[in-house]
This record gives sequence, structure tokens and C-alpha cells, in this order.
Amino acid sequence: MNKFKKIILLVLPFVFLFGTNVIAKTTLVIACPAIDTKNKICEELGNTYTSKNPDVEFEYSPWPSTDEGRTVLGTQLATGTAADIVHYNSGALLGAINPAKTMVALTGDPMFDNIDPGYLPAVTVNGEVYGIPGDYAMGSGFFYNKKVYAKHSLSVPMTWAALMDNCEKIKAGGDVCVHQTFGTDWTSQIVHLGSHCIIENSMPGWYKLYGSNQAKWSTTPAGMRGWEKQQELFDRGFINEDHPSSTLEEGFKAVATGSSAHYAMLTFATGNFQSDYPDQLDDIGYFAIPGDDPSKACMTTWMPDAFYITSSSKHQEEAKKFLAWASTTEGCDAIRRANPSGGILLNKGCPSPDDAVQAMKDASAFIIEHGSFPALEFVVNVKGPALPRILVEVGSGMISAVEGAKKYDVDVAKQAQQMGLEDWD
Amino acid sequence: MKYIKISNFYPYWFLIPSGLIFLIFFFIPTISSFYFSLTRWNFFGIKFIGFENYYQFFSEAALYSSVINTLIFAFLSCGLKVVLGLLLAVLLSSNIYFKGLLRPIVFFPAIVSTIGVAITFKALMDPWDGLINMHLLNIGIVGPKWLTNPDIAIFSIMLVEVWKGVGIATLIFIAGIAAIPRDYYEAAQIDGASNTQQFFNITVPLVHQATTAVIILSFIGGLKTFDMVMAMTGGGPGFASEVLSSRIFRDYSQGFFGLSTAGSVILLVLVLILIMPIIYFLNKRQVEQ
Repeated sequence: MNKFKKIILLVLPFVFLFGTNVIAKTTLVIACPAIDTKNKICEELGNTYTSKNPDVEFEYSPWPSTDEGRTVLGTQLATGTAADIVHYNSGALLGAINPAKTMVALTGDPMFDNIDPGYLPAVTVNGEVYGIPGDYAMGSGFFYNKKVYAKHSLSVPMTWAALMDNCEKIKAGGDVCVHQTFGTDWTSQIVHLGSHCIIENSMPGWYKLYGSNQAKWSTTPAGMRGWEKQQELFDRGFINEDHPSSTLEEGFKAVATGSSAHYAMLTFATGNFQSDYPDQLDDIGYFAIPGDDPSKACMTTWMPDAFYITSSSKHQEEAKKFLAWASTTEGCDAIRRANPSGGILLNKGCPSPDDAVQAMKDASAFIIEHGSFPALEFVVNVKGPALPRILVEVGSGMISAVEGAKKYDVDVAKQAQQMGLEDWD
Repeated sequence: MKYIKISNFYPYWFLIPSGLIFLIFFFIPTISSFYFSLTRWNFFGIKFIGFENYYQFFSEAALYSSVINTLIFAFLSCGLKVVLGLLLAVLLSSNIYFKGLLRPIVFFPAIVSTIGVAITFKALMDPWDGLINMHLLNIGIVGPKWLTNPDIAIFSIMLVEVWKGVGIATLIFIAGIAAIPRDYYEAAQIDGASNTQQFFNITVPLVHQATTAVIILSFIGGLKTFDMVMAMTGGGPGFASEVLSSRIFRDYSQGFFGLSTAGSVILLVLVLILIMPIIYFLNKRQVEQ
């Protein structure tokens, strides 16, 4: 009897351990960037899915959306300790975490019938497709304050020269033309990176040369224009005095309240305007980074972050079902509920709503009229890590555009060599 | 005696636990870091590439500014801590009012978290809304752009480091001064030595051990400074206040593990090259006395 009791006591814990697992629901862990809007998207998708499939529950494990955070996530992926589903960047940053080992390839899965084929290159590495879009695509350009434009009777510029003329008038009227926020250093990149579509329009396929180490910024005049624009804004005194310490949030405030006429930022900011400046929404408009030839104007776009399934996940089938569901119109409805600013979704059958924020309407109209092309980091797999800080140096007059471009060419080569890419050794 | 008795080994057994900890957590990682610094190590795997990482590290333009910033930071913060620490220690060892209150006040910054200090001073030193420049403006001075002017950013960070670290230096000096027998001062006073003469001829030479401790501690601390720089400027504006350890961290955070290990090895060598002569020189003087 005593022995029998002992056996029962020994076996009982295992019964609980495994028995409960059989009965219990599947719990999928989603690692989502620790950014408010993205967290909301993850949670809304998870909650909606659970309400329709009560046997699947979600937990959220936010990762800090910084370079360090990406390294931590990359380490988790490499050691097989990451979440089941990861909400992570598309483009060059996906290639950097070795998806062939760390992610589940979804190539040929029927869920991609629901996705705009233009998106797939951004989540494809070495011929394998890994993710579905988990956010809005973004345009790049200038937010501008329509009240300031009305006050100085200006019109939307279609060339860089016209923008500079506008700035001249705004400056003469005692206002700040362009708000720069080098206190949040990645924001320094928008003018430069947002010029890629114009480069593509004037030299189609340049990115292929660039990605295979046959073209450099410093020796490509069309490529240099982005650097020169950054320098010109500083040289001509068109930017705010506190640009070295000003932050992203201050940039939003400046253009929403009209203390600066322009702020170069991606269209995700419409979500911030909607939550923080609801009364000024109609004052804020949007246009692409202008080039030199109005006939070649177009908007550089950012591909949305994607949902990926990690190869270490024990629930890959359930995760696939979730991704397949998220790629449908039900998924994009959930994204729209989480962030109602009305951006562009790359899921099929998800048109932009009529009640989008004004700046988003401007951006969509600009793309429809003038076309678009993805930013460089979504079509080549190298991006130098020092770019934000080099552009801070150029944008605050510490070095010239040419020096900056040369410095960045070296930085890109370093990145490529460290990743062991061919063509760069 | 030529032979060591077996029983004399007995005390050495007690070294084994700490020796193992040292071996596993300090010695082996240090040695293996020499190997990893010779590899291209990233999320894709490890590949032996010889000295390419060192070549890469030394060929970067930002290297020189980061080494120079590290040296400026280490030498100046160390020098200021010694001078200010000694003066404060003399003041706080003398018979002044509120000594019991002043001593903790001087020491207080040392017990606050570095990140807290850095974030507070980042706000105080803001050129446009910061408290420091607003006060300067009240008395008619347009303050410098402490952290956003690339020419002075590293000096501003260094000053904050001194503010934070001088308390420990003062504490060590107070202990050093307390250990000096009063007889020397009495004898000197009878001989008619002035306060200045007593300071330079009695206090300074006899707190030598404390000086050595302060110099070595604050110099090594200065060479490997990281948190203060990261929290105040992130190495910016641009690369203007980049120091060696913040560069190493940046390479690490890009996933270039081999390259950042090479940087750590270089920092180790730099610390050794600079610290060894200082220790040798300071100890030699001590023996001479």
C-alpha cells in the first residue's frame, strides 16, 4: 500500500504536466516591437483571432525597436529561444538575421495569393519567402502645414528648387521652413532615403549596380542629390535652431502647430497626428521629397514590417493558420481598427478608406498620380549602420555632402564585409 | 628550506573555489576573446579571417576621434578628480562648521545611478530649455551648447563624470589625510611653516598612497567609460563624443560580434599600455620614500 502511494505520488505530477497540455489551448507567443501602434496591431489581430478560434490564445513579448533590440532578437532566434511569431522588419534587416536558419520558409503557400506581389521581394531572401505584411506600407516625404502655406500664399512644390523658393519666403516671413530632429537620430535619413525613387526614375536599375558594389554614392551625381539636399537645408538656414537636440515628437508638434512649415517623415506619423493632434489633422498635408525634374517626381515607399514564423516554434502549424488568416481582409480590418489613420495595406481587397487622414489622402493621391518605388533597403541587402549619424553630421554642417557620401560608402562596405557578402570582399 | 612540506599545500585548497570562478568567468573568456577577435562572427556563423577585424577597426575614420576622446576623457577626468578631491578633502578634514553635513553632500553624487545622473544633466544642459543656460541667461551670459556643440560635447560629459566621481576621490583622500600623524603639522607650525607650506610639504607627499589609488581608479574608469556617454549624447552629435567602448558597443549592436571583440582586445591593450607605466612610476616613488 505504501509502495502504491509512492507510485501515485510520482506519477501524479506527470499526469498534471502532460494531461493539462493535451486539454489546454495552444498559446502562441508574438514578439512585437515595443512601439505603441505596432503593439496595438499585434493585440488586435491576436484578440480577433482568439474570438474566432477559442482554442488558440496569444501572449505578447515586446522587443525594443532599436539596433540593440534587433541584436537581442537575433540572438534569441539564433539560439532557438525566440517567440513563435515575430513581427520584424522586412528588407535588408531581414537578410541580416539569417532567415534560412531562423525562420520558417513559406514559399508557395496559398496565403500569398492574398498579398500584393510587389511586396514579396521585401520578404524574400535567396529565393525563399518568409513573411506576410503586418502593418501599413509607408510613403516618404514632407509633412507640411497648410496654414503656413496659406499665410505665405505658397503652392506644393514639384521640384527641389521650388521648395527652396518656398523656404526663402517662409524664412523671410520669420518662420522656420524645415524642422530637423537630430535628437532622434534615425529621423535624419528621410530626405536622403526618400530620394531613391527619383534616382530610380532617372537611372533605372541603379540599385542593382549599387548592391553588387559597382556604384558608389559619392561618384553617382543623381545619388549625391539626396546628400546635397540635406546640406543645403542647413547651409541656407532653413532649419530650426534647436535641431541638434529636437526629437521626433517635437517634430510632429512643430509641423502640426505650424511652428515649422515642413517635417520630413514617413507616413506612419499620420497615426501620431490622429491621436495627439486631432484638431489640426486638416492643416497637415503631404508631398514626396521633390527632385529636379517635375516629370520624374515620384514617392519612395517603405515596405511594412512582416509577421514571420520562427523555426524554433513548437506550434508552426497553428502559427501558419494564424498568418493565413491575418493575410485576409479580416486581418487588414483588424489592422485598420488598431490604427485607423487610413494607410496603404498590401493585402488584396483592402483599399484605403474614404475617411483617411488628410495627409494620408495626399500621399495616396501623389502615389496614384506620380508612381512609387521602394526605398533602397528593400531592394538591396546592404545598409550601412552609421547612416543616421553621418546624415546628422551633414545636416548640421559638420561635414560636407561629399565627405558624408564618401564616409557612408566606407560604412556600407564594412557592413557588407562583416556579413560576408559576395562582390564586396 | 628546499622542500615544501605536503601539509604546507593545505591552505592552497581554499583557493580552488575562487580560482575556479576566476578561471571560468575571467581567464577563459579573456583568452577566447583573442580567438574570436580573429573571426567574422555574426548570425550566420563563425569564419576565421585572420587580422581583418583589426585592419577594419584601425582603418575607420571615426577610430582616431574615439581614441582621442577616450584619452581626453580619462586624463582630464582623472586630473580634475585628483585636484578637486584633494582640495575638498583638506577642506573637509579641517575644523569647519557643518563638516558632518558637508561630507555626505560631497559624497552623495557617487551613490546615484550613473544613468540617472546622465539623464538629469542631459536635461539641465539642454542649450534651449535647460536650467543651466536659463540661469546663465539671467545673469547675461549666453551659455555654450553643452552637448550639441561637437567641439565641447566630450568636455561637458567629462565635467559631469567629475561631479559624480569626485566624492569617492574625496573620501579616499580624507582617509589618507586622517592617517597622517598630527606631530608633523605641530612640528612644522613650531618651525613657522605657513598653511601652504604645510600642504605642499606634508599633506601632498604623505597622502601619496591615496593619490595612487585615486589616479589608478579614475584613470581606468575614464578609459572604459561608457554609460555616461551613451546616456548623454549616444556618441553624438554625429561621432563627436564617441569613445572606444561606445564604438565597441555599436559594432556589437549591429551584430558584428567578431569586430566588436577585436575592439575590446584593443581597449584591453590600450588600458595595459597606459596603466602599466603609471603604476610602475607611482610605486617606484613610494619605494623611494
